[in-house]
Amino acid sequence: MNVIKLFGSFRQYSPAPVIEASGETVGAVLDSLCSENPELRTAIFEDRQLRPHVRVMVDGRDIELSAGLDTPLAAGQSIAIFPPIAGGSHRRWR
Amino acid sequence: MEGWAGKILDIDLTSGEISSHPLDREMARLFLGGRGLGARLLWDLVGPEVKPLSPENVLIFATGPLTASGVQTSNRFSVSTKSPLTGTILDANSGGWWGMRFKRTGYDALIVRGRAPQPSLIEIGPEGIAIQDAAHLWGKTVSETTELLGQNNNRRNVLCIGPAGENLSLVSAIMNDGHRSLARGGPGAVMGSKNLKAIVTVGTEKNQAQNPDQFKFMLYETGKIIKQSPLTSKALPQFGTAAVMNVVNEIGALPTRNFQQSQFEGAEAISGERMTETILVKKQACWACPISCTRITKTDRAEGEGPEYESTWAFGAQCGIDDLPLIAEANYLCNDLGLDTISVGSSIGCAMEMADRGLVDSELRFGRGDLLYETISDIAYRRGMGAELAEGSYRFAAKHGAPELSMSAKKLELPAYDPRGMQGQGLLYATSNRGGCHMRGNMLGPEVLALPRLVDRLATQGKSGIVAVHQDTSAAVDSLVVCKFANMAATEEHFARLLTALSGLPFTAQDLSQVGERVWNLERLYNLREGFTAADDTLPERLLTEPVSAGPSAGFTVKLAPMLQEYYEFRGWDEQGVPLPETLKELELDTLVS
Repeated sequence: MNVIKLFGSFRQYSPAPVIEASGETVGAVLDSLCSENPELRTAIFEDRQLRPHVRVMVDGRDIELSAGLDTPLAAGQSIAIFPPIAGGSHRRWR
Repeated sequence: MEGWAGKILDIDLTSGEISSHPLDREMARLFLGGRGLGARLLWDLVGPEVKPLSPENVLIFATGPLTASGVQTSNRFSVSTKSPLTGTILDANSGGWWGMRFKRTGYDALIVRGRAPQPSLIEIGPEGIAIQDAAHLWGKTVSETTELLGQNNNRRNVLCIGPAGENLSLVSAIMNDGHRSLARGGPGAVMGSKNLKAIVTVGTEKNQAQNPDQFKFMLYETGKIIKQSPLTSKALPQFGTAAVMNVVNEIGALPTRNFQQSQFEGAEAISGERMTETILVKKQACWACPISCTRITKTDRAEGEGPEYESTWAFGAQCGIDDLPLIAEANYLCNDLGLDTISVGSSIGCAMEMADRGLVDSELRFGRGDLLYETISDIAYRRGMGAELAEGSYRFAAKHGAPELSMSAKKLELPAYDPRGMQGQGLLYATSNRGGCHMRGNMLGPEVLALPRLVDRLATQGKSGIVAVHQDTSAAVDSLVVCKFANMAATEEHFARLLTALSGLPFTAQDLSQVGERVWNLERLYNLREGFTAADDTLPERLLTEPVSAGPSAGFTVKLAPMLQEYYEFRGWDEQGVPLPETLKELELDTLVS
């Protein structure tokens, strides 16, 4: 079983900010979480991909630095899902 | 007025002389205004022989070319001086209304010199400029002073110090419009040392565009992008700056109990989400700001503005306190007494650890929220141990034999990100020209929020360039002057085109980046002239040698040395952190040091 923590505006789509679900990958867990919650699915996903600037972390590590939605999960790991709290800038790095 | 007003007001409080001189146009092109202009003027006016609290130090209140133009967030202004807390060059900037109102008096900047023979205030308005007696205001709080001087956002705005500035606390702020603060580095003490209680502005001149059609179009474009950004249109208005509390805690970078841990078990209780659910009354905006990140909050005992993320952390996780109403009240009190919430909260957290370790005789302990109010008050009025804490955490800890327990860089207390979990933030703190600070660039964007894209927060290689670019951008934004939150949505391209339309002078995004780099290098030169060296580009020993004990950043210290050498090289500095002649030539700074 995995703990899923929802933050910010995502909480309005969930009966509780912390819920439990299980799955072998982050994608599978999120899919299970959203299966009976279409509003949450729309808030998190766009064309089966995470919406821009939605951040998902497994035990504090952003899944973008692992295998994205295919990031494997072990029992007991926690997933944190943050709504977009930054975005829109196109600052250039040299 | 088309961008710049073209004049600098100059007031000598010792002699009472009031004069005005033209703004050097070339200086304006190279440094714009705000922080950049302040740094350039300070270079000429305040040398290494000047002590920060002596009459020879100056306060430079500076607006930028965008100030009061109606550009989104163009309400901001800065104060530049030599810091009594750090000894470095200092600028602090603030929003609200005062900056806009001052610009509308027809000046780009105000230089205040000398020391008035008795408590005084300055009034700048259409009837003239006057230095007036302020004996009746000395000892009054910020809210009392602001009200007595007739603050009215529609026509008259008040900037003042509270008792902390009068008592020369090195962690004192200058406050404007009641609740906004120029906080870091102790500018309130410099104002107090000049016997200057307040500056009142009544201005009506317009900052109108040279090219109104182009300006109007760019205002529309900039407004659109601010409305489209999830940060500026949703997260900040809904949850305020404390929206990031849970994120920073989740990754293990929330400094807790004087940086002894990097996750706080009470983070949820002091988060932006909790604030919105419990004590939030309404949100509020500064002049010409569509973002509205300000929180108006109310507890059972009081009502006020804030707290922002940094203040919530300073009195919360840093002190082991998870009582949000108490934290809000501590913030109200700091505003009313004129104190920097970050430095005060961090210094109290430092004292708590020192009391825990038996290094000071005090009841202070982590979690003792009941002592917060009294301790803050003692700092402002320099009572008991508060007199020592009024000097900031470094001097306090050093006095009691443990300077390493001050979580500061160049004696400025670090803000709410543990750099062991954000390596780039560590480099940023260590190299910040005003000391440990998150407003001289902030790696929260790339290291956590994927802005503009995600980099590994625990990696070090390649961070120096990203840090330098963020530092330069912050310097440019602080010189325009606009709010950094607007810059999280709108880009340098937007601001360059706005400035071009406003002033009629061609500016590109690259020009603005170069202004930022120029300002950064000038600040560096200033600090080198003051005697700072590469050895000062460092962090508290704890962050360099004590690995985080648990959580997502467990096992990490800040690996500063390799990042620092890479940074110096990227900046075009030598191995001792001194800008190379060719770097200065490229930035048109070579004539200052030749």
